[in-house]
Amino acid sequence: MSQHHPIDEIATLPGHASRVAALFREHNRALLAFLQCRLGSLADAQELAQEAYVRMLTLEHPEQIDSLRAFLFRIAANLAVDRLRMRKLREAGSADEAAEPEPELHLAPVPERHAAAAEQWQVLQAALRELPAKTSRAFVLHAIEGRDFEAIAQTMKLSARMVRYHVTRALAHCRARVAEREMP
Amino acid sequence: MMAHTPQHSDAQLLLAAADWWTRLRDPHAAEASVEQWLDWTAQDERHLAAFETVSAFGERLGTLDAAARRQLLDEFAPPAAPPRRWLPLAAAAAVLALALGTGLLLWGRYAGGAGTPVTYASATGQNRDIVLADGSQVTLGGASRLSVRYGRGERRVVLEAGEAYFQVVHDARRPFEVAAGDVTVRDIGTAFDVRRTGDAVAVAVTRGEVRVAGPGAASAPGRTLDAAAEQRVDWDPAARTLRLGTVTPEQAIGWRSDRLEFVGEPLATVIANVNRYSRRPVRVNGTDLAGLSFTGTVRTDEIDNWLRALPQVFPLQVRMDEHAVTLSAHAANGPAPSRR
Repeated sequence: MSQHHPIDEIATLPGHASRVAALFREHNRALLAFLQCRLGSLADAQELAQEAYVRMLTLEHPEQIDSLRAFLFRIAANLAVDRLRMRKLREAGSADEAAEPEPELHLAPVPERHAAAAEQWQVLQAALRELPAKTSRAFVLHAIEGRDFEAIAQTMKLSARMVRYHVTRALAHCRARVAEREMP
Repeated sequence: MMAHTPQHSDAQLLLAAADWWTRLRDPHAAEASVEQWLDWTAQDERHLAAFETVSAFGERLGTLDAAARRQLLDEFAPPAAPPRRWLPLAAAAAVLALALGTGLLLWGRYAGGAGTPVTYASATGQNRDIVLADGSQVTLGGASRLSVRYGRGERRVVLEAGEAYFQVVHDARRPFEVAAGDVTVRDIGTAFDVRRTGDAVAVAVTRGEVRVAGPGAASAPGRTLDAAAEQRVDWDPAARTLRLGTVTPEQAIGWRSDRLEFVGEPLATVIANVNRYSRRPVRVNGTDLAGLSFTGTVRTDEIDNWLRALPQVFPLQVRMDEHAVTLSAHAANGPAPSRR
């Protein structure tokens, strides 16, 4: 199945194409946000969203689907899982390089390297210091190191639900602190 | 966007958006969760906007460069540390030598999070002046204890007991923080006094500005107060609230010239602070005395005279023994405690 068919070419069912177009209009922002959340990359989110629509358009039997919206997000979620798996494989492939000590210039104090980013960096660091140790730890492991909740739960001997709770708190707190600086 | 919604609901909205973010992050999140989230975004256009903000913020965090990531991991999520405490000294020295040999770079990493704390203490009845490594000056009140840990990214001081007056050399890259019990004070270029009486903490600012955070300041917006010169923040451990008031420099740091000044403070607090200067410990018998409110000055070189004068203003009697002073309620059924 090619991804590059223009909509009108594939539209064997004109009714279906217009329903997908409506779906796009109504839910594209949410779909992008959903995918950005999953992938941590808006660029990847945009790419996968496009692919999800193409798949919607080229469905064999769209009339058998109860909720197109649910189906769209299911396709998107599956695409995201594939993408994350692919990334993991790529990272594993380059693990040897990663194990090598990095050149020293990487370790110059962060705040000195980008004047513009320095303040945000400091705000983030300060915000994290305001949090209980468990909260900042769970958050950094997830949001910075990219470990999933289950893995963090095992390391920290907490339930995955508690890990999620800590990450939520820290995320809201840090975001609020950074926002305070952005719009004084 | 909605710039006029109250802070309170902004904070709640942000928290809700963050909660959805962590729920949806899980690649195995139930489809029902996605449906619920979609319903939530449909309820109010601000919902999706808040979620987008959080999601974009998540992306920024996830794409920090290697050095930034490492620094955060080192400080906030160090790998389960081997029990260094049990490391034989020689081995520890070898590790240190290795670190020094490898250069500044490792030094920076270790100094960033956890320098060795240095503890300062003062004897009862004695103030003590200290100059810290960055030139900041501290006057420690009587019977007070302070531990100081300077890292590359922070200057952290813990007031373990008593009172201290800080004149901080400002360094935006290394915030100066004082923890006292449940309360954290962060300097914004400042001179300020922190007094710890049990769980109660009083912060008095004489110059500049500080931010005072109570426990759980992150989740409870009301738990943080900014105080400027001649303002004072009190942490009430019973009510678990921060309260903002005013204070003169004399009241804040009179103790540096041997005068303890109190404005409307419970007798128990007054006595606890007087005890940091008293030759003999002073005890308060009975809870009805402890709550009496005292305003006035106690000269630290005249504590005994002050104690002897107390029955003139409070319905109490003073017994002085060789090793202790006891304040107790009048045996006679005196008048209702007066407030002065």
